[in-house]
Amino acid sequence: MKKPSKVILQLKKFSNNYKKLGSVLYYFYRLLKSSYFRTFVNFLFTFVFAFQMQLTDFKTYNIYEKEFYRDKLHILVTFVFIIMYNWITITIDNYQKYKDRRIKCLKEVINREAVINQTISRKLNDITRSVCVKAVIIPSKADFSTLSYQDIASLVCHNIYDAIKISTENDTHQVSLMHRFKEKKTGREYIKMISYGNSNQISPSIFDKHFYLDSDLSYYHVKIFNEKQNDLHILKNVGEIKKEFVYGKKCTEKNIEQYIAIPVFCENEGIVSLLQIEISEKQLLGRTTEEIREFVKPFMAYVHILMVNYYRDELFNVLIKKFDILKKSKERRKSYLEGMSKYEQHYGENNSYIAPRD
Amino acid sequence: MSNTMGKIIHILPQGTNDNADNNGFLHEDTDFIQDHGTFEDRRQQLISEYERELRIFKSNSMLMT
Repeated sequence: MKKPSKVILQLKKFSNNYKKLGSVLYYFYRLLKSSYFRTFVNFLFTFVFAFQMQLTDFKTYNIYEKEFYRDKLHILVTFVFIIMYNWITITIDNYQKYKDRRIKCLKEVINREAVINQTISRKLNDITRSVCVKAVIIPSKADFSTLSYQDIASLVCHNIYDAIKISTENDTHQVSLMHRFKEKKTGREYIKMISYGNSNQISPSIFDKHFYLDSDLSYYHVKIFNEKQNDLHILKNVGEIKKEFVYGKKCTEKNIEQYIAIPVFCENEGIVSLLQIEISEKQLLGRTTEEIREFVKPFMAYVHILMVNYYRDELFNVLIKKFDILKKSKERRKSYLEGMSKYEQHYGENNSYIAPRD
Repeated sequence: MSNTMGKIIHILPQGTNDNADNNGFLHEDTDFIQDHGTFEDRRQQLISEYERELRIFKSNSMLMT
């Protein structure tokens, strides 16, 4: 995607900081966007230029003589104005095109988000139906297995990968999700990659590799999990990536130009997952941190999907545990009743002296 | 521009959370596919299912155009 002019971005920043001047600038921006105004200005320039040419003397002096330029300063001024005006309109047009492409990208994200929600709704409906069909049987873990957090993570990674591909016409990037786990035996917390989206259909080498939060401290993603702050982490060039040791102190081979990490932050849980975007092309998502931030903002919709599904998974796990307890207690009760009935059946035979048969 | 930065992000609960461990819910390793090949197969299956639904969605009137 072609990036907008730095001048426009600076003006936008300036107009946000100084509201009154900003509204004047915005008025000019709207005026210069108007095709009617542009036609009028072009007509005006042509008229002024023609009038100036008519008034100027081209015959008395030769073009190589100094006196020739004495009465032509106003033409030069008009000429500079025409160049300035055209440069401004071209810059505005480019910014307009950039905005249109951004809107197109946003609409694509909204449509895709809607389809993810549709897919989740359908799967949830399937789960509800399968649980309801077996009215007497207590649901088990298998009934809830058609929808997992890892599945949703796969769709999210794939969609962000696709959105970047459509917007930038480049496919050398990778989107992945690191997720937090706890070892049952030791209680140690670690993170590992549970999903990814890339072009080559090959899982990354660090897929399923454990990074312990208490020992692998040199890794940038471990640091983010330990900091427990809900904020975007943007490394815009190779220098920043090397400085932060994104791939650990030992790794020097990775050819990554930009790195963005978006935490999935849940209340009472802290950072549960980390969405990572790795870019191999220089300045692909933007030249500055602000530009990159603007680019990745639409992806926050997917982060919310992950957050909701984390809670959904939490609910499923609680239900599975409760159902399991219920099932076990039902089985215990059943075996107890079976035992009791056997006991009652032979009650009179074995204890005839206490309770004679009827 | 800086005033509007990151507002969407701020919808999420902010700040540190020291009580994170109190809840005790963290996924267990066994709940997730760990094998590279098995996961890639599952991923491809999900993506093809999803792309089919996306095509259907794009052909109906609910599409954001």
